[in-house]
Amino acid sequence: MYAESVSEEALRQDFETLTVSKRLVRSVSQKLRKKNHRGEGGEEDKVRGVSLKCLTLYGRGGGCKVGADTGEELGDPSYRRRSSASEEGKVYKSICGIEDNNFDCFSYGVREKFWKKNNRKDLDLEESVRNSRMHIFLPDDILEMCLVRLPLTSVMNARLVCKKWRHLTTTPRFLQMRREGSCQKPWLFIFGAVKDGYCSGEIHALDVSQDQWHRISADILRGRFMFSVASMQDDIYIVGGCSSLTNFGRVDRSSFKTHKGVLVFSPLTKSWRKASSMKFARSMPILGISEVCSDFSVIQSHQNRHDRQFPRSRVGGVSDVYEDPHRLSLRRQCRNAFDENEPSLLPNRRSYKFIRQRSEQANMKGCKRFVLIAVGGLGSWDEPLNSGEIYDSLSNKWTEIQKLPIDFGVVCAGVVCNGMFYVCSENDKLAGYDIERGFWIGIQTSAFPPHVHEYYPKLVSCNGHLFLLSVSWCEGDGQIGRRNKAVRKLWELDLMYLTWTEVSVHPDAPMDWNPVFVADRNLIFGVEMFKIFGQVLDFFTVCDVSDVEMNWSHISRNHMAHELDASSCMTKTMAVLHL
Amino acid sequence: MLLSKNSALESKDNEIFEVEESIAIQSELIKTMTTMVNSKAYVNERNQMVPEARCRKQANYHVEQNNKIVDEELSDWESKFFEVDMDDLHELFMAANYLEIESLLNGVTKRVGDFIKACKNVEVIRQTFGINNDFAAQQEEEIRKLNSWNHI
Repeated sequence: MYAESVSEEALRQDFETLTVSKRLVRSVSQKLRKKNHRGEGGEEDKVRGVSLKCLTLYGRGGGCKVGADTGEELGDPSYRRRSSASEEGKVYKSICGIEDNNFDCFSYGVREKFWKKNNRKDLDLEESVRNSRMHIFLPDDILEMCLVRLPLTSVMNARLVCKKWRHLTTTPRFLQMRREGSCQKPWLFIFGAVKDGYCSGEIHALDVSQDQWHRISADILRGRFMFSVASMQDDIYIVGGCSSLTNFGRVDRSSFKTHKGVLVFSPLTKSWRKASSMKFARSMPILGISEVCSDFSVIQSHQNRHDRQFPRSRVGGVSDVYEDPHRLSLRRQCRNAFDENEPSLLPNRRSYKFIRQRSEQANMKGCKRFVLIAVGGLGSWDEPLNSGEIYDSLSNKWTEIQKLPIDFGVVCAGVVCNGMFYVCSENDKLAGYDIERGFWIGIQTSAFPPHVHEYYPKLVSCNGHLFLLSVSWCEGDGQIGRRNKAVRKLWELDLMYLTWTEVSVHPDAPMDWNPVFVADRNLIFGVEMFKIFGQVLDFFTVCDVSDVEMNWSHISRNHMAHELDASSCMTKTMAVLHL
Repeated sequence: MLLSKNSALESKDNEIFEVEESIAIQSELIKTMTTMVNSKAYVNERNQMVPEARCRKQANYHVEQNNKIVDEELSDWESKFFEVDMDDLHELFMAANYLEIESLLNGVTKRVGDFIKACKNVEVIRQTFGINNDFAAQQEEEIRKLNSWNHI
């Protein structure tokens, strides 16, 4: 060992006398040599006790802080690896001690400094002195290339460094490049936390790729509960909900007011704004959100309906049956229902043109047009609603849509898939709202997946596929006195043949009757929260639908709910954004 | 390994590198120059270049090693190659920029990105890159507020 360190010393001295470039040449060629003589030469290079792969941060905080994904491809689902990180959640996976032939990266002879007694202050000072000598003159376009790949938290840091960095990371072009590259990762936002009896208005955000939790205080949401959320582009829409009238801030269902209002939260700028309010006050409405093409017009869809009704013999029901695999009778029924409830909205040519112009302007800015549909929920007297309304982002207006027939039942879940807003009811019925054309269609499928009483199914859509999550008995059938075991299953609906297929089983016992499932690209995220043994626990899981096996894995456990009240289980809701 | 033509490239400090032509062409600059000359006879001659010595060395090493490694080991090798300190990275980047070698440039930007990612807070970024804080105190406070939810 001693002999080796001597030769290293000699080498190091050599280094210091050489110019920068030659030193690098040597180091690279040594690397190559070592690579070729892996077996023999490996010993002398083995780092004793400490990996020196990381740069300057070793001295601080006592551990390698460089993420383990150095050199890996971006877009890797690194969240899976992160789940095995320590409870802290913040400590990156240490790469110390990995056997490696890498020559040390500190060619200034820093290595010997590490073997001094652990005097962190010395280390820090020397590092900062050395670092300030490194004046890196990176041209702006190169710097931009470096910054665009960063995860959101690093971009936020970069914005604070200096004016130039701030400018580079906030231009629309930069943001667009970030969106188009594969460097954005999913973020989960959990709403509805109740603490000490109060709806705190805190939003808990999980950076899935870094397994880091953040807390956002949102005073504007204080006291509001049982609202629904939907995410679109970089914003989260918070729709409806209730507030207690007597005990401000508390989850009090004895005397409360139900909201029509819609709030919009933009995490990137931490800003709130109001969108126009719904026509009806709703708590926990079922939401569906979807981008639409710029030509879309709510008014136009009404116009279509008018056209269909009058010349019925020409564009009659007969030809429609053959075009449309769904049941006609239900559609006719819905259409009749619409006749009664039709709002007095006459197609106005002038306003139609105006909308067209505005849509062009919006497109130039790069904003995509979308619609947000709200159906059902509970009204001002806690009565279940079967009305629905649609919000157009371009006009910032809500318009009532056709009601669902009464026998459909209470809507318990909904999601948009391929231009259709699918909803299912507590009566195990499925219907779809054709967004472009503007009417409901009853959908007759093969046997609906069975579910345990009062554990209503959830719908989620990913990559153009429609999925349903339902809790069913796998052992016993729920009768008391027998051994019963329930399990949550993921089913997919074949949209052509309308058959349900079981695709995956959730690993956790279904303790939460109100879980939330949201999808982002090819991932389905789920959150379950329940109180057990006096503690409120939370479980976050994810399923990759592009994976053949569609297995679920855990991404976070018991990180955010331990301080919350049990009523959070009922009020919680979640949205996912790609940031 | 096919025996392809070798280009002789001369750097500013008059060192001559023999590089396989297929590798030399990875540099957009060299590619342009050789196509401009457009004659096989010339390709084997010295191409007079004006870049700085270090740059050339870095780049050449990169392409040479690049070619020798089998695919599976390539990403391993690459991550090690780029694990150098900031000055060396700076040189690599200058070489990549001048010679217009995309893969090298990607490697460098990725590595710089990793440095930034590894910095836990803004102060560390400033130190690492030798940047001065040019925000007014109030501006900085405003931005910090906007970012405030990022730090638990």
